[in-house]
This record gives sequence, C-alpha cells and structure tokens, in this order.
Amino acid sequence: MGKVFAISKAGIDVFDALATNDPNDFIIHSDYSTFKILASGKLLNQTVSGEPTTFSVAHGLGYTPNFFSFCKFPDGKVAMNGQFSYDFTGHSPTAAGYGYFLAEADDTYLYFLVYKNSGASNFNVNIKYFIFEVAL
Amino acid sequence: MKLVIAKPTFDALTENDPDNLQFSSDYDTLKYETTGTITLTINQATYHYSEHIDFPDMWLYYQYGYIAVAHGLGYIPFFSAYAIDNPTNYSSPLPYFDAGGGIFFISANVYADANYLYFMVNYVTDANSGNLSFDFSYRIFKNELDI
Repeated sequence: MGKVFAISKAGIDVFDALATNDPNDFIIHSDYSTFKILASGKLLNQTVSGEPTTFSVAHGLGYTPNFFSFCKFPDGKVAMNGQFSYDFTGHSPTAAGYGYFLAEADDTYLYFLVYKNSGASNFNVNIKYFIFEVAL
Repeated sequence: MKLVIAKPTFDALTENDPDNLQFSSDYDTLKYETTGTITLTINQATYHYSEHIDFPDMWLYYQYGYIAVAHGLGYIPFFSAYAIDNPTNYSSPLPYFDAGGGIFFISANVYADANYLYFMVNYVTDANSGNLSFDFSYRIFKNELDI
C-alpha cells in the first residue's frame, strides 16, 4: 500500500477501514476526490412578476459549470430545479399560483427562471446555488 | 496554512486547479447528515379528480399523495432524493416526470423546509382502487441553504 491520508468515521478504526477499503467508512481518503464546492450564493426577495421572470448571476468561470440550485417559495417549501411549487392541499401546481422553478447555465451566467401562473399575484422567492468542481 | 492532497501526477504545493486535487481545505464540501428510505402508499380509491375520455373509451383518475420525513435540523438543508424502482420500472433522481407501468403521467417531487423533507406524487391512471406504493431514497447534508 502506498502512503495515504485517511480519516475514518466515528466508531470505525482507521486501520480496519483501510483493510476493508470501503470508501463509505472514511470522512477523507486521499485516494478519493472530494466533491468540492467552488462557490455558492443566494438571491433573496426576488420578485416574480412574469411567466417567467429570469434572475441571472455572472459566475465568471468561462465554462459551463456543474451546479445545483434550490428555490424557496412563499409557502416556505424549497423546491429543486425542475419542480413546480405545489400547494399540498390543492392537488395541483396551479393551486398556489407560484409556478415552476428552472435553472440554466452557460459559460457566463447562471439563470434562474421562476414562473407564476397566469393571473396570479406577484410573489417573492429566495434562491440558493452551489457551483461544484468539474465543468459540464 | 491549509491542507491539500493532489491527484496522482500533480504537485500539491503548486497545483491550483480544484479538478486536479483530491482534497483542498480551500473548498467547502457537502457533509452528510443522514440518508434513508421511505415509502409513500396511495389508496387509489381516494383519487381527487376523474374524467372520461372518448378515445380510447375510458376513465382517468388523478391520484395524489405525499409523505414527510422529519430531519430535525431546524434549518433548510442541502438535499437530494431518488425514486427507487418506481411503478414505471426505473429509479430516477427527483424530480421526474414519466409514464409507463399503467400510469399515463406521473410527477414525483421532493421539497424541504426547516423541519421536513416532503415526497409528493401526482399521477394519472385508469385505476380507482387498490394501493400503489412509491419508494424513495434521500440524502440530507449538513450544509445549510440559509434562504
């Protein structure tokens, strides 16, 4: 075995973990790359008035990044990319009037599109994004 | 002072590209809180809407249900989830939209707030009786969304 840097999880002897070599037993193991967060940010109290309203963030990387994002709707529930905001009692994405969250990216920007349903009142959302290592 | 572990053939003392590093204390990482599975069972006799279509001649039943998992963090965490061996015979990351296995349209979703993860399914089927179950697997990380 070559030299490694390893920290095992609580309750697991690091030498036992190295012997069995299950990556799930380690907090850090120098043979495995960690999923590094290069940047994160948030957009707060963004008003959705269109179908959709687009919010953009310049990421400055010059390539399309690996990213993940979340949108908090007025009902307090956080949706992932590609989800409608549902009123859980209304059985329908149109019941709450909040609409749909979609995230996109290119070499310059992250784009967050939030739809409101036709005729619905404007509402505010909070958005959180994470940019990870390794370009798309 | 920082801790850097480079990938093989790269020099930890000089390498700055995070793609070439196994670990660097310059970068945050996702930190596991917990993982788990949960099953949502929908009683199809409790459909919330139905409609008749002429071609083919049949009734459609709109089914809906959700189930919550308490995560106990007191803040909204980074999360991800999957449907496992769902009725369309695939495992998929959530959210997903699909059809198959006797389901004409399905939307499976996951949401979070400061206390729970919510797994919610909407689907349309020709069935108005019996139960249909959906298995979900989830990962919750300690990283706070702070929104």
